[in-house]
Amino acid sequence: MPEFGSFQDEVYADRLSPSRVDCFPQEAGILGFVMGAGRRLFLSLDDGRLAHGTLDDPAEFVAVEAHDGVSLALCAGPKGGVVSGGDDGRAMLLSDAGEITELMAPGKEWVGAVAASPASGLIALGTGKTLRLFDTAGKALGSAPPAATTIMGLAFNPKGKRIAVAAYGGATLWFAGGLTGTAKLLPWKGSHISVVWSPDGRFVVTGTQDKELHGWRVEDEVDMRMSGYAAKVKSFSWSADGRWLACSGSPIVTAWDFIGKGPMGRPPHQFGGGEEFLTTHVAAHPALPVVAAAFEDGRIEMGRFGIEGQVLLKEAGGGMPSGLAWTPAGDRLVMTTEDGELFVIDLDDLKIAAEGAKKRR
Amino acid sequence: MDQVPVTVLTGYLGAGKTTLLNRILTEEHGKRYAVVVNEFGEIGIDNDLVVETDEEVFEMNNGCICCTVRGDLIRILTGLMRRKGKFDAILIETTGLADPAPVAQTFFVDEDVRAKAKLDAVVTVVDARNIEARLADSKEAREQIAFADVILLNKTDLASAEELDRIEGEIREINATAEIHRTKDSVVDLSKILDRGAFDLDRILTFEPEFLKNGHVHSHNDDIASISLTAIDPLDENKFNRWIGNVLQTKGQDILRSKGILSFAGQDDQFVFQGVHMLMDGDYRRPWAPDDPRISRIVFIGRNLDVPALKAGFEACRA
Repeated sequence: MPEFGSFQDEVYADRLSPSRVDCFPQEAGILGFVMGAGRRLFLSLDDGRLAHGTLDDPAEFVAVEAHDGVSLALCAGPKGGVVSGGDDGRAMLLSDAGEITELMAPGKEWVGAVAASPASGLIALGTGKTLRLFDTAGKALGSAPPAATTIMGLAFNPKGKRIAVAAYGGATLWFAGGLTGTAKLLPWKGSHISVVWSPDGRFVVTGTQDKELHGWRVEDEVDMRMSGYAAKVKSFSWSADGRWLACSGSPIVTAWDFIGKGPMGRPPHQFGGGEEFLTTHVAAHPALPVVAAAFEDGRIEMGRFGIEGQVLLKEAGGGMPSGLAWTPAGDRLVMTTEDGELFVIDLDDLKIAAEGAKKRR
Repeated sequence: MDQVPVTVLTGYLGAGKTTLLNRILTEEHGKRYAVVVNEFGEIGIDNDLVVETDEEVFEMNNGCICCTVRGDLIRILTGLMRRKGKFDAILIETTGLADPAPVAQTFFVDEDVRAKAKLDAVVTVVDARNIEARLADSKEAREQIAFADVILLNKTDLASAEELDRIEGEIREINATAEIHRTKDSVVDLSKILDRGAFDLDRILTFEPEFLKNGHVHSHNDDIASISLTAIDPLDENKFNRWIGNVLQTKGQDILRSKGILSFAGQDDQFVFQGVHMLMDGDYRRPWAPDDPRISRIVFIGRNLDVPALKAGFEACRA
């Protein structure tokens, strides 16, 4: 049995047998990955290629040429597949079937931010200062007037009808159907480098150059400042029920509670970690109220939202983590590293627990 | 992990920056460079990896009033680092109108940049024909001189020996520690401008005696000047840290650069530090050589430097 600390719950504690960690080295360093449907996985390799395959055959990924350089931004495609923006100015859509579509031809402006919405089927790219929209098939739909500074992050709202753009001075909200109109600016001084939209559509949260999170309640634009990070926050993950936002950026995993009016005036839930190594990635389970976190030393811990304690899923070791995600069924946790390792953690028992949780709902 | 050295080339349009850049790129040195340019000029750049950028000066929201960084450089340097092993060093060419402070501060402030890159040297190219006019009418031109570790006094064929001596004197008034090379067509031994790191700090200990008078300040029109302070007795580390912290906190807006090599009581290693405005970074480097005089030396380049106060404060740091 893994050590649970005070992580007490009959469903998780009693049924979780020792996790098995497998490592499948890939042929190049991995800059990030996207989990697709089933056990499908898309890897961004540090030689500019994208690789696709499944966890059923993790030694047999197929790599395709994508960038003359490297991918800078990666997200799940609107209807499966993966979208990748590169430092060659090129943006690609790779489908589940392995077909590649060029959204943007190579150019001098880097494609530094990408987002896609399963709800609306839209794809958004940030090419330099310009926001561009594409449909599911990869057809260009239009672009917004250039922003004052380079676009650092993009996020769709849950319906896929609005897009939040993170840049210097705050976040701007565009309507996908109104790129020729004006955007709503949610101002906050400083450089905003990443953005997420809450699953209920009520909150927009950015990560900043100043090692803080900044949030806005969309309905009344109330500001929310969440600080105390040791590094820039680069990884976010919302809990399955949409209540908690887990974040990287400190030696302890933090999760802010967005129930009701938002997290202000309430300390974040914190778990795990030590002093020396920062969290690099967080990934909430697709069904259960638990979240996994990867650390700079290669360790992975899992905690439960709102309940103290954690469990160690993977010992330290391997390269610098570059991605962390669950399979949609919640039975496997995958971590990639800059050194090209693909770690797969077998958590079949959590799947059983997740099915139990669904039945109880 | 090894940090990739970054060389920043500054200077006015037409001074010879791009010529120097191409000279660096085409010489047989076996090194691969990534080049960041502000705008593609008329002269092409002879390199595989050239990134064009817009100057994006960002204020940090961290309570430090003069703390600005180059957001575009943070983005580009961290992006370039994803191309693991594809280049050995980075060259950044800035425009003649660029303020060098945000460029330098980027290397102090951003943790991702710091983890993977280090500022090796600021190389400023000046045109001997018109530098005197620029120094008179342009704050940027004076600051580019003040921030320089190495200065190429270029187009020497277009000025007389007397003019060059006079210009060099004016440059020295602003920046007493930079190494000055007189060049024609930006021709210079590349070892004088690349991989400088440690060497440029050592120059603090050895720069020309006439600029070394204790507490001596060159100043005209209340503009940028250099001062150097020395102490023969070992310093107390805590006292020094408190003092320099206070100096930079209260006078940092006027102090463009600070650097020093220090002998702390009870330490066998040299302590070296560098600062830009309110930011500073220091570390123990290497042991003092047995026959080295263990003299602590500190240099400030800035405006309105209160020499007696700085001198008194520095001397009070004695162990």
